[in-house]
Amino acid sequence: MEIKLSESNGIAVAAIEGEINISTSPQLKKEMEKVSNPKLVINLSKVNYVDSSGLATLVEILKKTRSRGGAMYLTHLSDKVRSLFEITKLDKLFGICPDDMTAVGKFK
Amino acid sequence: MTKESQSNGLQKLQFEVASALDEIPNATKRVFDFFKDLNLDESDRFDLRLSFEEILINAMKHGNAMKREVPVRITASYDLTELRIQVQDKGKGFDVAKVKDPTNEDNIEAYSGRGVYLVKHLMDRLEYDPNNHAVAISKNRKNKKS
Repeated sequence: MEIKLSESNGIAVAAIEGEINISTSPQLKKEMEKVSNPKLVINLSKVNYVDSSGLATLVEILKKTRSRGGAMYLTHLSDKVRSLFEITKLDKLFGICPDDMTAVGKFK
Repeated sequence: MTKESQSNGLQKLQFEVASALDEIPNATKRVFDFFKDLNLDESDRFDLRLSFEEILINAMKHGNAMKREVPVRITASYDLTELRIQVQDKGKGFDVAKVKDPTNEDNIEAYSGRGVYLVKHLMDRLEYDPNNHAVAISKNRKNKKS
């Protein structure tokens, strides 16, 4: 898994490449703990597989972001990854946007 | 590893893996190599992979306490009507009925509990056999030609 961190208009954008599964989730959690910006966008355009550990890790990141008074949006979900959020009703918990620009606009 | 082909069209593959996360990719590859003649589409492959890996991880964690030396037995099979994967651990097994509904408001932010729930939705059947410490998933076949 690769995580590319950048900042756009004061908003942290994490672009993830690879799978978010039980083996890679600890790395994602560790990397995201370094992000202090409470305004966070996670771009999943290059994520083609997420398992329940991956969903759990994203929930943990969301909870930490909210505990700092921030917000977090997920972007570019593939149809299959999005279906996992819908089945587990996590699409009601997360802000899900089609692209980064829309997500960044949510912070204004 | 054993591979069987029976007169009623049932094809069967059985093998064991150590209870360790690094065994998962190889186990998945062996199962999908076995299913390759079924020409599963991308969506079915995604659902089947996720479901298989979720029950395999549960068997390793909850059944075998992630002790590498304790194996999980995997039995993949298909016939004209369905494909099926059973995982069998050496411990208590994993009662899929006891998992709380993760979509419930009280559980929605919980760390665990989504794996089995996803499997129930993605597969046609999810069965627990407490006598054999086994969980099996099955999916009806769309293309029944092979």
